[in-house]
Amino acid sequence: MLPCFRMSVGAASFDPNPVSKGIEMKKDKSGKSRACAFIRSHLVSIAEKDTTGATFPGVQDHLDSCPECGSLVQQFSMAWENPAPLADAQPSPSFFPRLIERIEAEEELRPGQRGVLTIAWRVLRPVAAATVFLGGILAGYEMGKAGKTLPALKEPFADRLVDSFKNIPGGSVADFYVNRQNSTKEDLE
Amino acid sequence: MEDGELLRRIAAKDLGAFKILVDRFQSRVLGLCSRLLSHPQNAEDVAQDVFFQVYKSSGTFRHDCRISTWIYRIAVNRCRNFNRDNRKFGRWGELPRGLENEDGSGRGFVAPDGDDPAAAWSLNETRELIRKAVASLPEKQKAMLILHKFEGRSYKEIAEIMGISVASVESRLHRAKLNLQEKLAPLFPDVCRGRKF
Repeated sequence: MLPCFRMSVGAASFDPNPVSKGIEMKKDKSGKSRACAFIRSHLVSIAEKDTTGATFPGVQDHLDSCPECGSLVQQFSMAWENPAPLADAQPSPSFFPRLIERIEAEEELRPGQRGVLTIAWRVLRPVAAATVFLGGILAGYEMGKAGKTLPALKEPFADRLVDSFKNIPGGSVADFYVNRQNSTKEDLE
Repeated sequence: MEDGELLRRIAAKDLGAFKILVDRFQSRVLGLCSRLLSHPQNAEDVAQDVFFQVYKSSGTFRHDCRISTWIYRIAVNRCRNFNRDNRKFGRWGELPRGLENEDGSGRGFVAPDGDDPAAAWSLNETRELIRKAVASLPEKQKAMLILHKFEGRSYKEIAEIMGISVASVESRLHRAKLNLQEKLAPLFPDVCRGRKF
């Protein structure tokens, strides 16, 4: 029977140079493989390092003794080192003509409409905002100086709101809700 | 003709020069977009956006890096924006397993060849698992890993493309690989669990 070991480091704290941290493979009490789980959770690190050298002595020992892990690492390393080439990296024949159409459409807009309007909009927008802002300040100052105030509403808002409830058409949805509200209120009282 | 000269001509609205530039970079840009996008079937549209942007901005290029780096930067940004805008449609990596794309075309995959088709399919499946795990990484980590691992860009180039320092590229790539390992572990069958010796 082939010996199987477990590693004494956690999966999250894998060190690319395990020798320096004194990582060693120990036999698991239950005889079950934890090294296999370790290998699976460090496939990228293992694939990128030289597992045949002295960098991963524990890992290499395990890979030699566990055919499943050996096969998995070998396959993963092949896929990792030679990622799938894109078979269809060439664009469709209409790629460039469509691009030119788009550019020409942009060019047509640019001189007559887009160019002038865009520049005008860019310049006039902050000017308009500044004019409104300064105009407001100036108007407020002038009004304050003349002792004027904003014209008051003829009727307070709350009064107008209460009046609007008096004119609800009978049988309407609003009427139903108002009646229900009133009856609930009366019940409580 | 050199890339710099091409760009100067494009800035002067020379569509012939633009055609040469597109021919030179289109497969690389399309490949990068296919890998970066959550929905690879949109790669051509995004690649077109990239070249449109190149045409529009050719006059403002400062020649402080290689043209290819500049184009890659535009492509990475476009893909990130596209993924962000289309996140609500789900991630490509979460699609049901299989070698087909959403349109069932199988585009982007290479059919197995060689003496042992079973081994080739197995290799393709492993590649597919890796691709899915990479697709599920956060956008920046995914872009960095793809540029380094699949596009073969150096740390310096990636730093220029992403607009960060080389040291940041190194540390983020390391983090991306650790993150990838965590995502890959459950994807592979636990062939050895409970194996007694």
